[in-house]
Amino acid sequence: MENPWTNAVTWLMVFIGWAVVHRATLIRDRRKEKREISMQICKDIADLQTAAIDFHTASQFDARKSADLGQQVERIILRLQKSPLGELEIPLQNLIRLRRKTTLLNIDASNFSSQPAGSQIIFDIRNAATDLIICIEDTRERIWE
Amino acid sequence: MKINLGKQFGRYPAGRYLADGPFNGQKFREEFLIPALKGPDDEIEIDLSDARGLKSSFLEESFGGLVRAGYEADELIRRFKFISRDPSLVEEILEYIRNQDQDF
Repeated sequence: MENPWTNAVTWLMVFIGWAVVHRATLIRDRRKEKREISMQICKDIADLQTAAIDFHTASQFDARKSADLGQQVERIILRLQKSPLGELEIPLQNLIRLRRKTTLLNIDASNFSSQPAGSQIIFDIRNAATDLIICIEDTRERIWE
Repeated sequence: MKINLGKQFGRYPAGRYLADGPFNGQKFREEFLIPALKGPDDEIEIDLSDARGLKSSFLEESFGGLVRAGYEADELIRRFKFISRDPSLVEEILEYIRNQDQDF
């Protein structure tokens, strides 16, 4: 007659095996999800850069686009400080730099002038956006790959 | 003394000067911040939570403008207490107070 304990141990081993595999799958799926979210925010930052350059190089001041830039940059910065992107712990200086380079100068009707493509403002926007994207990608690879 | 930017001034503050619209930084500084600084309360709580889409030009004109108007950075940093969901906003404002002429 088969020992009932042998049967129980077998089932226990099966359950433990399933639990370990299931947990590993969940962790892998969650990490994949986080990577996708971080890729999306990088795309959003690139879109912000495009919108900011379009705004600053436009021939005339556009109040709606100016307001949109403020909200776009706000949403990006808030998302980068909340879960799960907050886990990346992007330095505040990178976030401040993005907002400042996008919305400090040439953003209001009273001081707007159409910027040439090679102006300092355009150069600074490109740098701030690119540096932030690189920072996100580097940190993502380090902690979520 | 408490100032709720989004509720008392404007939900979408924007612009640097009076010519930039009704909820600009110069107006916020002159009608809210300076009167609060001249008031009897030592601590001034500034709640940024209900304002949306804050741009650097508004922040710089509001707070960096106080230093240009003659207020000491140390006094402003000591008296202002900020409330915000976004720590980067508070840090940026403090930078404008400390180095008000850096970028602008």
